[in-house]
Amino acid sequence: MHREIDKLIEKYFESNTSLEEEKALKRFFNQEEVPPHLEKYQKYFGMIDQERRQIAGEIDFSTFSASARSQKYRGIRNWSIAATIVLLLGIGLMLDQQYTSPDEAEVIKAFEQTKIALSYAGNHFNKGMAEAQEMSHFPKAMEKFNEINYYQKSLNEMKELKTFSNGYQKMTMFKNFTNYQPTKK
Amino acid sequence: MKMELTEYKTLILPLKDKLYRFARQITQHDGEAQDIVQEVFIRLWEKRNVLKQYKNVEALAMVITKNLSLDYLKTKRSKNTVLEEANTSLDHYTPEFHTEMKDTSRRMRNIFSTLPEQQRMVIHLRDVEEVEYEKIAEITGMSINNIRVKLSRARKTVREELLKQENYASGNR
Repeated sequence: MHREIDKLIEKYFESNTSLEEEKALKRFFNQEEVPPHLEKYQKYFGMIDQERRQIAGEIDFSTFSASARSQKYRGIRNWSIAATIVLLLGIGLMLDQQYTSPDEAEVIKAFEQTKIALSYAGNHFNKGMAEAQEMSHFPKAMEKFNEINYYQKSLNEMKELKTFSNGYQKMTMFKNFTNYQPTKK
Repeated sequence: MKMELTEYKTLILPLKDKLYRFARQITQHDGEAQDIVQEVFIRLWEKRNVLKQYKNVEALAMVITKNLSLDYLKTKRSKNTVLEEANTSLDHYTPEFHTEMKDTSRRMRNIFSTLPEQQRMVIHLRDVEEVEYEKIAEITGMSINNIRVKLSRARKTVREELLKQENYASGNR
């Protein structure tokens, strides 16, 4: 019997035993008394036997409805739902931005404003051009002004002439006076 | 085809402890294992109307348990957190085993936790739950050959670790 056990143990550690042989080994080593040279295996199989005696706690069926989720993993699921929503929103915004990104919208706005400004400036430019054309009349005006100046000069000259004529009148009066001789009678 | 809660309970509830042990073995964490079992029950409940179409509901439940447990390990590794001492609490043992298991269970836990995940899964399914190789392959997605290799390694490592502890204990005496 012991020799057979020795053989089985050898087979066991090479994974060549059947389930039945392994059960036989366990039964043998769970006896009270085993030969001294096999005592170490008593501990080995004793521990395996104890592993099998572990039992789980109660299962909580209270939340088992159509879509039951445990607290812990429900938390994870909620987070993944939230993360998915955030991700989708992000993608949505990105796609949206491809059509009307704030930059592009601003560019368009700026373009519109530039257009208005340019057309405004254009109007004024036209006006300005008209005014500039009017400005071309300026030399003529200057000519006229010069004419006026000239007129003024002539006026001054005339005034001088007038003074002169006055003086001349006085001189002729004086001449007449000096030429006056009392009649000899 | 609709499944009521009572019918669901009779189908799934017998798996509860097995799922818990598997989750606990992979995660090495009692509280997390309990949470995972609750989640597996909810996921199967959501599948309740197609559940009967599965040939092996137990294997399905074990696969979901395995995936959730491995997910937990991945997250934990990325967080780089250390296993809590509370892992070795005996809360989930039946009271009559508390006293005798205090030492040995702690030791076993430590030995199993030193094994790589795949070895841990394989030795647990085969030695603790006594599952056929074909079914282990179904649950883990590993080939039967690979399962045998991993199982052999796991068993030898556990044996060696036990011997080390024995020698350490006797040397201290």
